[in-house]
Amino acid sequence: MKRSKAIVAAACLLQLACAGESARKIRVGIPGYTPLRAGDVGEIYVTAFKADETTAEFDVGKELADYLFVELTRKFEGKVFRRSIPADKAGLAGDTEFWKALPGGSGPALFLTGTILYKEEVRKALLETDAKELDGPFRQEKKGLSERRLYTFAVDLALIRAGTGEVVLRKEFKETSTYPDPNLPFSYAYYELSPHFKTKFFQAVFGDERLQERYLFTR
Amino acid sequence: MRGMMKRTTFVLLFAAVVAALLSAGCARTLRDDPLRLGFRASEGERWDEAVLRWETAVERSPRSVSARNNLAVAYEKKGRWEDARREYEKALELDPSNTYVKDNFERFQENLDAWKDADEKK
Repeated sequence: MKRSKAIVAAACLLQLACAGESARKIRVGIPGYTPLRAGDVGEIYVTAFKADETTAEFDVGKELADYLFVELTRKFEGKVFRRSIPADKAGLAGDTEFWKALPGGSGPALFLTGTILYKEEVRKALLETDAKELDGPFRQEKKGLSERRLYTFAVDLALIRAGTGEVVLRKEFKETSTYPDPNLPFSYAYYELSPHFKTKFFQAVFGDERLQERYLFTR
Repeated sequence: MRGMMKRTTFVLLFAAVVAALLSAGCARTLRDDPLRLGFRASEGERWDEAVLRWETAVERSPRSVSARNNLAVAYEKKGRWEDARREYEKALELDPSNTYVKDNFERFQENLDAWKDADEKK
């Protein structure tokens, strides 16, 4: 009798040990809002960007298209292609008929285009010495005006659905930076500002991950 | 006296057998358990693998609340909102009083509501 009780108790123990439920709280990065639902789009075509001022030395439209193509290839789970379009159609998100007629591929696809605006300004900064600063052999004269170069890099970007010409996302991104050397070329500022722009653009397109708490069961 | 010793030996032997069963039996179960393997994959941020493991767990045990809940979380992580909703709803159908699943589902729905607002404002 006692033996059978012990066997039942052991069986219960075994059952409890192997079949119990155990929940653990974890912090997981949940993607934020995105206009692109997962599986909605299989292909992105990077077309051309219209730039108001393009110099022979630095074609900012081409630079940005090349950069976004590479970065999208890394980030986007679908396929990313380049698609050339007539120069006068670059950035014209509102030309629905043109985008509708542009061949997009076999599955659901988006075209990426935009307009780039960049400007440079020279700003003068007033330099002052601290009145309390003591005189000495290493004291530097800091009176007068100093020139700073301010670059603004703005992109009006559009994602357009292939087949319908519908604008899925249209957003303007603006980045500025000031440099103490007034002779720095725009390309220098571009290479510094374009990663900031890319980060914001990806957040808008793919959603910004936020850490949230969830429970997972281990058994 | 002899009977007492015999009983003690039996109890000790029995305890040893139970312990062996617990460690061997459970260890083997856990080693092959897709739920457990999925959890390990999620700990290593291998969410694609976690999805596959928990999908297997659901296939093997369609009435497992744990498997369905975990799969829903993994779908959330991958941005597969509709799939996540389906799994949460099935898990709650199986165990409507499970506070962990309810908590997860509430947070999931809060996100969906916020995104719905964003979609409408677009």
